Amino acid sequence: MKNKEQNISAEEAKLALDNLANIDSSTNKLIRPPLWLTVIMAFFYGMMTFSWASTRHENLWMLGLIISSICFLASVAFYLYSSHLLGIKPKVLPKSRAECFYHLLSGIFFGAVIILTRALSVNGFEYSAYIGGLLNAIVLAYLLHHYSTGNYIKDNGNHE
Amino acid sequence: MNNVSFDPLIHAQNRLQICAILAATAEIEFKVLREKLEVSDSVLSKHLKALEDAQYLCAQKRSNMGRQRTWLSLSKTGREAYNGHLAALRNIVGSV
Repeated sequence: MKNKEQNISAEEAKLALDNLANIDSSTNKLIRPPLWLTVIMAFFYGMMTFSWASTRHENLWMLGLIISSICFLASVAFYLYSSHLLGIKPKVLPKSRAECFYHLLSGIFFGAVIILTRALSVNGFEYSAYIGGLLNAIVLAYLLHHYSTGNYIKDNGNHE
Repeated sequence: MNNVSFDPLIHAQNRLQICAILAATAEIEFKVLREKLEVSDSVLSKHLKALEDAQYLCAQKRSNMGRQRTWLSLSKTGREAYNGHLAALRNIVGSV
């Protein structure tokens, strides 16, 4: 079925790539969570980081960590379920090498922030909990908004 | 590294769009895809059949809340072919 011969010009190829960029962009906008849900997810993720850094033995922040974790997971579940009802299933696991790389990098970043924040907070730098929580929340919101499928969304506004 | 190969089956405009949408999702419902492409049921079915025959596409009918829905996804072969086709297009543009 597959004919490996190419018989298109560079202009046609460029046009096809431009069309694909527009399709990718509009598809990603369709898939990504709405802004209010992105803010909620990012808030609870930031709270998880903050609570974990502030936890000392069995103080009240342990409760904060449990509650924020439950709320974060609930918001993720809500996003996946509502997408399913709308007829779209977002990718949870990476499907290509580029997506694997993206997931790995973001995992390393979030892990490093969580560990560093906790270590600095325990060693007396109390403000690290605020900084780490805020940093993780902002980065998660940014990634959810722009990289919801592992592909960067060009916000050119020429579609939809 | 993706297998770089220009694939005329994928390159047809509607099929290229179908592959691009399916590549960005795990699964998408037939109705949503039809609305996104703004084509009729028959036109979409024809393109899906061509992709399915080439084993690029998986179509599954599932019942949800008493309503049957057709879920579409790219197969592993289809995803590789699409990525290879994209790489081939980039090569053509880059070689000028």
